[in-house]
Amino acid sequence: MRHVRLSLLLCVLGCATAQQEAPKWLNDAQGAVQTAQAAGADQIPAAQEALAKANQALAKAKATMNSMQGTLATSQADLAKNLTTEAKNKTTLQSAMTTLNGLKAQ
Amino acid sequence: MTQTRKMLAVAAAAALLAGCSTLEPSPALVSARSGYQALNPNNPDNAFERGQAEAALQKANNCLKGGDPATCQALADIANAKVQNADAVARAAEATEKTVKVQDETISIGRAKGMAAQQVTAAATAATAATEEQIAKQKAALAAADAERQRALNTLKSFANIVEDKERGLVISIGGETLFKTNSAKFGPSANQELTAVALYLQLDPRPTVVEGHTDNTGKPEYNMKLSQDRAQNVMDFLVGQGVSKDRITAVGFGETRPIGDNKTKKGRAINRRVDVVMVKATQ
Repeated sequence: MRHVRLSLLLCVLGCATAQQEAPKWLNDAQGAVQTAQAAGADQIPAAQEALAKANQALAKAKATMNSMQGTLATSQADLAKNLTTEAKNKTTLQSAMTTLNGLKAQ
Repeated sequence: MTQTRKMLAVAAAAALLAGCSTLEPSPALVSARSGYQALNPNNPDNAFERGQAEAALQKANNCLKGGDPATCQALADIANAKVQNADAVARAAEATEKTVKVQDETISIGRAKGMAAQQVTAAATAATAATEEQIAKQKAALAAADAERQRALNTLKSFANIVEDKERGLVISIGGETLFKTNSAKFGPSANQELTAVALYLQLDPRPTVVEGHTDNTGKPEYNMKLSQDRAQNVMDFLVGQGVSKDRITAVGFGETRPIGDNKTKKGRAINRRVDVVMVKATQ
C-alpha cells in the first residue's frame, strides 16, 4: 500500500513537472528555427551553416536550460532566414535581368 | 597551519586577479567588430537589425572586462550573428530595389519596341507586385518593432511612472527608494530587474537619452547635488553595461532644484526622490 502511494505521488510530481510551460526565450528560439526552416533555409547553401548552428544552440539550450544559448539559436535562425531571403531576391533579380537583356537583344 | 593559511591567501589572490583580468577578444568578436564597422550607418533598410547588432556588440565588448569566458564567447557569437544578419537584410533589400529598377527598364524598352499591350501590362504587374511586396515587408517590420516597443513599455509601467512630456519627450520616472539604498548611490535589491527592463526599452527606442537624478530638500543642497549626480551616473553605467550605446546617453544630477512634489509633505518628498530617464524629443 505504501509503495502504491509513493508511486502515485511520484506520478503526480512527474506530471506536474512535465506540464510546466517552457520559458519565453525557449519558445522564441524554437519559433525562430521553425520560421527559418519554413522559409527554406535548409535548401539554400548560404543559409545552411547558420541553420545548423541555430539547431545546435537550440539543442544545447534545451539540454542545459541556458537562456544565452536560446538567444544564440534565435540569432542564428534569424540570420538563416534572412540569408534565404537574400538568395531568393538575388535569384529574382537574375531572372529579371535575363528578361531585360533578352528584350534588349531583340 | 601557517603554510595552509599562506596557500589559501595565494589562492584567494589568484582568484581575485583572475576575476579582474581582461579577456582577449575571440575571433567571433573581432569578426563582429569589423563587420559592424563595414555596415552603412545611414541605411534605412536594416536600421532595426543594426540597432540590435550594436547592442549585442556592446554587451560582448563589456563582457571582456572580468566576465566569465564561456558567457563572453556566447555573447560574441550572438553579436557576430546579429551583425551578419543586419548585413544580409541590407543585401536582400538592395536586390529587391535593383529588381524593381530592372523591371521598370524592361517595361520602358518593351513600350519603345512596340511590345503588345498585354506583354507590357504583364511586366508592369510583376514590377508593381515586387514593389508592393517590399512596402508590405517594411510595414510589417515597423509594426513588429512597434509591438515589441509597446510590450517593453508595458513592463516599465509596472514599476515606473511614464509621461509623454510635450517639451522634454518620454520621461520614465523611477522612485529613488526602489532603486537605491537609503541616502546612498548604491543600488538596492530591485535595481537590477528594473534597470534591465529600462535598458531593453532603450534598445528598442533609439532616441538620445538623459538620465536625471533628483532628490527632496532634506539635507544640505551640495550633498543632495552630489548624491543625485552619483545616482544618475550609476544608472547610466548600468544601462551602458546592458548594451545601450554610451554615445547616446548622458547623466546629470539636479539635486533638489527640480521638485515635482510638495517638499512640505512626506508623500511629496518621496515623489521628489527619483531618477528620470528622459528620451529626448526630436527637434522639429
